[in-house]
Amino acid sequence: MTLHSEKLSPPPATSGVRWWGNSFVRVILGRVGQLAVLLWGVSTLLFFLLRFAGDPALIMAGDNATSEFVDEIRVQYGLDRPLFVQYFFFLWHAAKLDFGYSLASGLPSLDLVLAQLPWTIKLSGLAIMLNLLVAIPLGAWLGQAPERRTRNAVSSLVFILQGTPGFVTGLLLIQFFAVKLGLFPSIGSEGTLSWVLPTLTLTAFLAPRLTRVLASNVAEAMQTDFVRTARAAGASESQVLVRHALPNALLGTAALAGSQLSYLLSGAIITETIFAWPGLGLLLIDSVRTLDFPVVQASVFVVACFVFFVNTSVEMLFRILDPRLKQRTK
Amino acid sequence: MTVELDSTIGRMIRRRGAYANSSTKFKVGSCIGALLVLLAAGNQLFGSAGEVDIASKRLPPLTDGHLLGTDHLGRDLLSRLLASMGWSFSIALLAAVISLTIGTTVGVLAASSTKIGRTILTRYIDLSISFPELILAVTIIAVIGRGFLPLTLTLGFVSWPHLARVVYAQTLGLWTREFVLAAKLSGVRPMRIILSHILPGLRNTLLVMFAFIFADLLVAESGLSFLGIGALLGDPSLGNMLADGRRFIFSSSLLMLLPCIAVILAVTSANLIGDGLSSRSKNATR
Amino acid sequence: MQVNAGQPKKRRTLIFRGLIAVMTTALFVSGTVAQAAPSPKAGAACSKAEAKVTVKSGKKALKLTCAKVKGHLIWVAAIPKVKKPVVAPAKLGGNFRVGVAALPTGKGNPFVGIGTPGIYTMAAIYDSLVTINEEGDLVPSLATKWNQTSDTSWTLTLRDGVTFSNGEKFDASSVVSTLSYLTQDPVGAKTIVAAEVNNISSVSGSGNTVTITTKTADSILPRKLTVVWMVAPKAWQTLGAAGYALTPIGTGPFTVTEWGATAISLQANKASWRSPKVDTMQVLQIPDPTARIQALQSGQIDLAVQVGPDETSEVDRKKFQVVYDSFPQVMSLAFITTKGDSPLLKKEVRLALNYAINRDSIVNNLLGGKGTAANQGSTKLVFGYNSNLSKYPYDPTKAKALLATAGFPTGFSISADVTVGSFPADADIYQAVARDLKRIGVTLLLRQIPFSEWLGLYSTNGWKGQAFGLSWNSNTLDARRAIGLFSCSGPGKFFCNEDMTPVLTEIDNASSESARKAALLKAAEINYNNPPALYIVGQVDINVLGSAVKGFKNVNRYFPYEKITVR
Repeated sequence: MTLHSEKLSPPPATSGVRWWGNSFVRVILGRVGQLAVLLWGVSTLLFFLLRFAGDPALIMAGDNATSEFVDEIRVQYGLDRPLFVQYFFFLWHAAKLDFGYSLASGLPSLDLVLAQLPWTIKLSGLAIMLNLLVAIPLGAWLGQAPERRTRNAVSSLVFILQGTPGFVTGLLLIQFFAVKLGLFPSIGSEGTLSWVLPTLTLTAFLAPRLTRVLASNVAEAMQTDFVRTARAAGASESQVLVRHALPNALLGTAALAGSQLSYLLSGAIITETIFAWPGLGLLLIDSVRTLDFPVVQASVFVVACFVFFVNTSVEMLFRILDPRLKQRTK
Repeated sequence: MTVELDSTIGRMIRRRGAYANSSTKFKVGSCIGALLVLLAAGNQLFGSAGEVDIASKRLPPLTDGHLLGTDHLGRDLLSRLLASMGWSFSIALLAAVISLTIGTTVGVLAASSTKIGRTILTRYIDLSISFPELILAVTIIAVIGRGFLPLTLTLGFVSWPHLARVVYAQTLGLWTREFVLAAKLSGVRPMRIILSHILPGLRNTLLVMFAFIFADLLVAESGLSFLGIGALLGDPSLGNMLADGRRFIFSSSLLMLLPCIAVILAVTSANLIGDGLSSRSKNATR
Repeated sequence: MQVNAGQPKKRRTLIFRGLIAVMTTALFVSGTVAQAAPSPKAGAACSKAEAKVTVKSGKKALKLTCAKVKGHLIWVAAIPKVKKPVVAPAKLGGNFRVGVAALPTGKGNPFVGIGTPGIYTMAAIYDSLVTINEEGDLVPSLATKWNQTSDTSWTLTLRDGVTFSNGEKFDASSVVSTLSYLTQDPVGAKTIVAAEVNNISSVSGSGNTVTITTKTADSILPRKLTVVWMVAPKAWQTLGAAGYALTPIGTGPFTVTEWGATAISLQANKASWRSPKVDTMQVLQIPDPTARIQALQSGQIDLAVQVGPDETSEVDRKKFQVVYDSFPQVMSLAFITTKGDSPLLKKEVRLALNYAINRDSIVNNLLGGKGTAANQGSTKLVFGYNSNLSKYPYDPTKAKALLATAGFPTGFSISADVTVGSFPADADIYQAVARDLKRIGVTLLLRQIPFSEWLGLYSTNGWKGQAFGLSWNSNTLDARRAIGLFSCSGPGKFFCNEDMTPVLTEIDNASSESARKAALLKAAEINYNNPPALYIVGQVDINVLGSAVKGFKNVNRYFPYEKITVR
């Protein structure tokens, strides 16, 4: 769902970043403030949205429940109080990282989420690595001379792959490699083999996008003045590519990192559901389907923190690596 | 991808010959796209979504007057496919319109307002972008329910921040152009400048973004329907067809392959159109 | 070209070749690892014990096998010809893995849920005093005999020599404390299970004899006891309900070793009176039925519970056993007649709809021929099923005529709120019903809602449509509950037929089983001639097993796990 505007990162409104020495502290403080606002906003939105969706007491009680049992639950979970009291109660507890107990399993919801989070991180990490491993060489190769016939054909293939929804890839992989050939498990996370299909699915979802951006950046960099200079100075085409064009093109994808992560997590939801992978995405879909409010709240909270943390660190990293970014922010 | 779109940051690319390619892209994309849309619209006007007839379910192609056979409830597969394309395309189109409207408004406002307003709006856009849209969409749909209208609204609502960011960057650039500055100095009111100079200046960008948003939302719609949280029971949707068809991937492969191909073709053609347009508009600016 | 350009070019090529080599190796290795796995079971064992993959690069084919090193099962490069299976093939033992849609909602607490989804796990851990067999008859479990000694008292004789998994002896005191918790404890008396046994006033007993006194005459008390799992009194006292939920203790064939978020691991309880034949068991949560089938096909589970008939169409019948059982639950569209004007207020219309749908076609085409065409809310297994009632004929002409007499010659349009995904093929069945009704001019608009919304509408009678999806079922396989739902005094209050009210009183006051049955049959007949719902089909359960699994039986979703072998 992410759009293709990654490279366009406009000048962020943060101004006054002069030298990374002291501005770093300010930037980080500002970021923490933003995170707080984000968390508050998302939690509030979700709280009211979810309350309109259904009565948690009824959901907990099930269809065989007696009305006494439902009332009992209402009192037990404080659902008999006015909505706004519940809201402030919720905020107060959320601030203390207490999201209450899952309606379905009765376990602390944050614990549930934190138990699933590593699985999502591990899977995503593996997919990102494979993604880089595929996309960087492929993108560099395609971008070096995009008009050549074979590369043009490969480009078209990448283009079509980009248009293939992740779940379609996942389904086909399961049907052929797990069901038909029996090479890999179709679901779950037990053992090394079970990592193969989900990782491939997620990579097939990520790699075409990065490849195309990179190819186009490399192509662009190959036309720049300094590359021409290098060429004129006698560097070979491959030297130009590896030493000059590729590093520049890679830095050019810095702005891509942030939205790529949110894109990745969106992909992870579907991938995890297809493979019954015990990650955050599966938990979220399950809890949304059953309206398990506390778990939905806790998972969205954790996702927001996680995304924010990764994005901020990537941004900081690139600030150090690429002086041009600093200039842009002015 | 609109990598080359940015005029404020990126350099102009001086590549020769590559643009022959981009115009081909646009042509191929629009041909496929037009064909798909015509087929879907034609079916919507003159065809049907196929009638349930469980006694003749999963017929192979070319039986009993069913060109492509029937699906698992005995509906004509071709009609079903075309109806689903119509349904899914409509959602993606309408949602893209919503996204475009909100995104343009917020982006232009952000770039045209005072410093405080600008800071707040850009921060808001940045925050929204960093949050995974599908997660938001899934949660909202759980609350407001499934079906055509909820799906359209949700998808439109979650996808605009990206567009807003692009529009913001473009508008900032436009405000520094001579003709805008001239208008500003001669005392034309900002609202007028936006309407008469800024929006026309954004036209190409918006067209390109529209194509890309459409592609993304089509994938999102089929994904959500596939997960069983998008379309309703019996709604013709490409995602629904995929979810139903996956059970018969070996015994009646067409049930899954056809919607699969339809999604890939539609998304690719939209991406081609967007790519072609973006290169073309860059040629024009040069 | 230039002399100095040669080297960097080589370096670059090297880098790219290296990358490609790494990728191909990765793919290659994963492929070989898969091939080397001797069987899915050994693979699972290996992955369980912190699988390690030892890889040596090189062009030669890598063979990886599962081997035991320092007590750990790991993948090692195998020397050809030396093929030692990890575990010597024994006659019994092994691991039995079950894939279910959902784990018990209250974890191991046996009193907060009845039936699906909990029963698939509970049946491995707990026992009830009495159970119902596949004929619908009561059979002994922890109680071997039961007698009604007066209108309001029952005496039960308990099985000898049964112990709980923690060593506690099962005797009268266990029954007394379990039932007292459900009838007297402030929390326990509000649980879902307690609602079934709230007629009990006191329980006493010693040794192997228990006497249960009821508030009013209760001819079906043993039937009600089938939903009460027995817990160990001392452990329940010390652990409390919350602690017990995590470490459940029962008399059943398995004990829980680990209760995860998506999987439960169990171990054989060899001391159980139902001592199992396998060593370990796992219950895995796999919500999507297609995913359950795929997991079975790829060797990750041995039993895929409750899948749809369509999902089994791809299953190779030579490798897997597809087991169909009818399930005592009738799928229906309940008619709402208490909320303003609706065509369904007319009895003729309600009958017409029942004549308009082709149930046999639904059974044959959508349920693999295994469901039953429904003509009442009960199925054969349910106490109170009326076998004298004939099928509703599929007769669109008659239906149209009835509609015309009711004043709707051209039909009408109604909407129904339904949930899907709860029964095999339910989404398909609803669409087929809508199609059939269309043929007599009735447009049925299906509004698909999530179960949570359904619950809200049901409990407040807040329906906006004229009908809604409701299944007729009973935890105790007794027809009274469902009939009650469709009565003037029912909790949903969506349907009211005054003719039923005296019959319900007759059922409730019946002092003997036969009198009660007669009244239930009368109720079924009233609901046949003046239907409160569009009866659709009696449902089926479809379970798919790996070919090695023997001894599986589905007794109304209670699986006697102790009989199962996997080798």
